[in-house]
Amino acid sequence: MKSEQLSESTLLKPLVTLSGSAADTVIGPPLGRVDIGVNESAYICRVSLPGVRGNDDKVKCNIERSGRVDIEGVVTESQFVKNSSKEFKIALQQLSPPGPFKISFNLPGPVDPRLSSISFKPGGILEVVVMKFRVPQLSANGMFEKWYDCSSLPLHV
Amino acid sequence: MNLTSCSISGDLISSFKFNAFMRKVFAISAVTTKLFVLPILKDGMTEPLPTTTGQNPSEQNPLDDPGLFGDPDPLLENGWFIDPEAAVPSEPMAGVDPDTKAAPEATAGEASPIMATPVSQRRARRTAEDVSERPDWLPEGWKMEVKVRTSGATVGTADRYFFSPSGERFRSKVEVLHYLETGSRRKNGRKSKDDPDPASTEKPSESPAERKKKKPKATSNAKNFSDLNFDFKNPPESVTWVQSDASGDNWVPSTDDGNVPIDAKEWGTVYARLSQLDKSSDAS
Repeated sequence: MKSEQLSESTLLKPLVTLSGSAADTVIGPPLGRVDIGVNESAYICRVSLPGVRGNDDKVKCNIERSGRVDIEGVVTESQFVKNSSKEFKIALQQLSPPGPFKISFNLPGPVDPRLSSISFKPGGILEVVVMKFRVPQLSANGMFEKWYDCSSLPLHV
Repeated sequence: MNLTSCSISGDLISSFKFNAFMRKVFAISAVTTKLFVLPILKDGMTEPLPTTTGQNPSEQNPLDDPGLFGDPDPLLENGWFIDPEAAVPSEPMAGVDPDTKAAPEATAGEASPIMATPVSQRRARRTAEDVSERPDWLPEGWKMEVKVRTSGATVGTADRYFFSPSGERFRSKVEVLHYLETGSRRKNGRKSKDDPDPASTEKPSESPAERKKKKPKATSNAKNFSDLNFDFKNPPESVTWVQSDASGDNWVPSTDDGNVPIDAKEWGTVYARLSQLDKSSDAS
C-alpha cells in the first residue's frame, strides 16, 4: 500500500533537479538558444539543438548577405520510443516535442554567406562561423594589404 | 607530440640499449629525423619522449662523438646514456627488437631481470579508434579518411588521409598546414597520390633550423591572394547550407535557384585561407 502511494506520487510530480547554469534557465525547451560572438573578421553563432544532430532529416541553414540566419530542422522522436511495441505515454515533457522547428536571428552586420563554416559540436550545439562582408585591397602582385569593411559600402559596386 | 600522431613506419636506423639504471629497458629509435626515446616500463606501457632536436644519426653518427659518454648528452635526461655495443643494424619497420641484443646486457647483474619482449608487440599501435576523430586543426570543407593497413608487419596500423575541398590528398597535418599556409604542396614530399603504399612514403623531413627559416616565408604566403579566383565584392544574396551527413560536419551549399554553385569548392579554399591569414596576423 505504501509503495503504491509512493509510485503514484512520483508519477504525478516527477522530480528534476537543476544546478549550475541549468538552474538559471527557464523550464522549457532548451532548443534554439543562441550565442553570437564577433571578432575583426567573422561572426560566430552557437545554437543549441539538442537531439537534432544525426537525424534523417538534415538541418538547413540559410544565411543572407544582410546577416539574417534561418535554421530549419526536425526534432525526431526517440528511436527507442518509435521502435517499442508498447506505447509510451508522456509523464513529463520538458524537452522540445518532436516536429519541425525554425530558428531565425540577425547577425550584427553584413556577411559573405559563401564564406561560412557550419558544424555540429558535441552536446547538440550547432556552430556557424560566417566571415564578415569585406573586400581585400591587394597590391600589384596580388599580396593582401588590408580589408575594406563593406558594411557601409553600396552592394554590387 | 604523441605516438599516435607520428608515423614510425620509416627505416629504423639504429636501436640502442640503455642501462637498466631505473630497472627499465629503454629503446631509442631514430626514425629518419624524428628521434624518440621509448621507455618500456615493466607493465608494458610505452611512452615516447620526444626529443628537442631532429638529429639524424645517418648524418651525424652519435657513436663517433667522443664526448657522448663523458659529457651529458643534451638529448638525454640525467642518468641515461647510449651504449654503442647495443646498436642494432638498420631494419625495416617493426624491427625494434631489443631482446635479441639489448636484453641480455640490460638484465646482466640485475637482481630481478626484466624480460624484454619485442617493442613491436608492446608499442601501442595507432589504431583506427585513435585517429578516427576529426582533428580541430582541419578546416571546414576538408575531408578525412582513415585507412587501416591490411598486410605487412604494420598490419592494423591506421593511416589518416586528408582531402582538400578540391580533392587533393594529404598524408599528414604537416602537409595540410603547409598547403594552407603556402597554397602549394611541400616540395620535398613525394607525390602521395602516386604512391599506393603508405608504409613506404616516409620522407625526410626538414631540420628545426630549416623549419625556422621557412616560417616568415609561409606567413607572407598566406597573404598571397594572386591565385584566388574569388569575387569578394559580390557575395550572393543568400546561401542555403544543407547538412549532408549524419555527423553534421559536411554541409552542401546551394544558392537561391537551388543549385550547388560551381565555384563552391573555391569557397572552402578561400575560407581556409582567410582563417590562416587571421592566425598569422594575430601572431605578428
